[in-house]
Amino acid sequence: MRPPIAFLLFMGLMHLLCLGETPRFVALEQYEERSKVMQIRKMMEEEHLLRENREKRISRMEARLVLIPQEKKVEERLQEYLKLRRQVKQTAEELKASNERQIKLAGMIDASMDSVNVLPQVSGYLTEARSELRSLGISQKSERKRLEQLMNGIKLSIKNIPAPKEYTTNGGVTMQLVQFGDSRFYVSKEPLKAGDVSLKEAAAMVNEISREEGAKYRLPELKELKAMGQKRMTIPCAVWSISKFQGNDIEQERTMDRFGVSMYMIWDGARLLGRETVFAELPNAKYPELGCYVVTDVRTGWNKRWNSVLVKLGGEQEGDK
Amino acid sequence: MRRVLNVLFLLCLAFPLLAQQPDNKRRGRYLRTEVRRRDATETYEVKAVPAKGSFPQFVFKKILVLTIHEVKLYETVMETVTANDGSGITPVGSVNYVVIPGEYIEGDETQRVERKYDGVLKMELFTLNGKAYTTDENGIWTDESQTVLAAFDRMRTKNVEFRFSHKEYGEAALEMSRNFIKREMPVLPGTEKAQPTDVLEALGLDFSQLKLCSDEGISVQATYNKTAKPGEVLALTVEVKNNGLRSVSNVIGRSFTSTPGLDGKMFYYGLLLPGQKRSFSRLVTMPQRKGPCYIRLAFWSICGPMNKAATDLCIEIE
Repeated sequence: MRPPIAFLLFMGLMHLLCLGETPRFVALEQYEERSKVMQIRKMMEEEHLLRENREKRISRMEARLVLIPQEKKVEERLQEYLKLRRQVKQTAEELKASNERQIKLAGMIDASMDSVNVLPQVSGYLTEARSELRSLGISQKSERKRLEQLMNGIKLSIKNIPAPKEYTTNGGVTMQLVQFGDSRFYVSKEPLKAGDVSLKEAAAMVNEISREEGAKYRLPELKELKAMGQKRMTIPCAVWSISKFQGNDIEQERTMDRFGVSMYMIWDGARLLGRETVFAELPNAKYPELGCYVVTDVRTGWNKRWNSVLVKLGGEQEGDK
Repeated sequence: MRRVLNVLFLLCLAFPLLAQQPDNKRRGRYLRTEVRRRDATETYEVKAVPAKGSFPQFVFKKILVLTIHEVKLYETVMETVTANDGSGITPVGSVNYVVIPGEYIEGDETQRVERKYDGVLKMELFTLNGKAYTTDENGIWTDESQTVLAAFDRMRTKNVEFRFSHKEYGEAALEMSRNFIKREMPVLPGTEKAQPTDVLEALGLDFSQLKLCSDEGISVQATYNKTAKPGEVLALTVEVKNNGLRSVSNVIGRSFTSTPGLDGKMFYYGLLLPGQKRSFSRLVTMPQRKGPCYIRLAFWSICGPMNKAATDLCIEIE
């Protein structure tokens, strides 16, 4: 009795499977290999084209960085720097994506070269493509370096842009820049309140501005008030400072510490209160001639302008980069 | 002749030696002391007397100082030396003393000082730190201007010597101390100086070293004129009450202000038992300027600042 043909074929297939070997279809394999090589070729061409465009763009950006300082208006300059900064960031992202693509491409080339049925002319092309890929990598390194230099140049240029001489807060308080020696700070052009304000009330007003602005605003220190006085700024009232009175001598300092009492310095350049130019007062004191100013760091004004430029450019607000 | 002259010359030389007889009188037993002179001077002393409240009191006592000049008298004895004549067993002889009746030998003059209280200085004028004050009918001066307390307004001041001056009796010094934490001072042998009087003790306050603290339930009530005239002297009375369940010890208060005449006035309370309250007043001089004067009354107990008890005041000078 002879076994059926289907049974023999099934047994033969099982035998092959048990041996771990797959049936080979050479024509099919060569077709697939050819399409892979075609894909590699296409990708290589794209990478070349992208590199050329990128290099041109980097050159243009480098030229622009040199030309931006010729802009007269600070805001326009800042806008240009910001645009350029974005372009650099975008290019860097592209470069990163290109790099990832090229790694993938290298993998594809290596896989194709390892393939059994590679024709000699295909193998030659793949070797050439691998070499080109290497040179693409080298040029990417140089592009990255140029982009880094460009970014550093932009950062430095932005940093060198001076803070605005004055700006207005969202609440309508005009802040003006005061430069005295090495220190620079913004102080309100007019007193927040020109009289009848205690230190606690003054601090509450300043905290409200900080909350509205999302930046740190505070009452001035005595040295800042002195600087304002030496700058001959018009101060129409005696002004609260946040500088604590340390006592005229160590005994007074210890006594205040012992009883847990704090007094704060007042600057009265015009001696409106009929006392010394500088004297200490209890925080609950209120005089018709005693008002308060608000100050903030020089970076607050700088950041505010930066953020306003960013908003104009349609980006998100961000701090000083 | 020449020999005679030589003999006379030798006699002249020997005469002083021959004339110097040995003095045989000696000092005998002590008989009595004789007062030769009494010098009396009048002076006074000032002492703090216990006074409850915020105004220390001092009594002015008149003192009679007697300086007694005394001499001790001793009997006079004659010393007789008996030489050995060869009889008996005494080989060198003997010395005998015989009292000479009615004759005395005096010792050195000594002085003795006696201090006797001679009443008090009633209605007497004296000066302290250049200011004139008068005692009352009991010889007591109440420091109504708080001159003594003002001397202790600096925290570091522990001892002050007050010098009182009287036109007739001269000067008298009184040393006073102020201890926020009372300590028993050791009595060192040989130290004759009296311990200074503590001003807080004189005011009847207990500043014993007790570690009792809690500013929970401490209430402060200040009584003062809300308005004043420039330069006016006002009384600022601050009552501190312990409404808590725990005692608080060594409580003091102090005024803090930018106005010089009002700053640094110390208020003393000492030990405050639960439910106990104590008032203390200080005189403050208003400044010459017009406008508000802000004062913070801050308190301290042995455990540190009593922040919850701190009180803000405002006096308007019109």
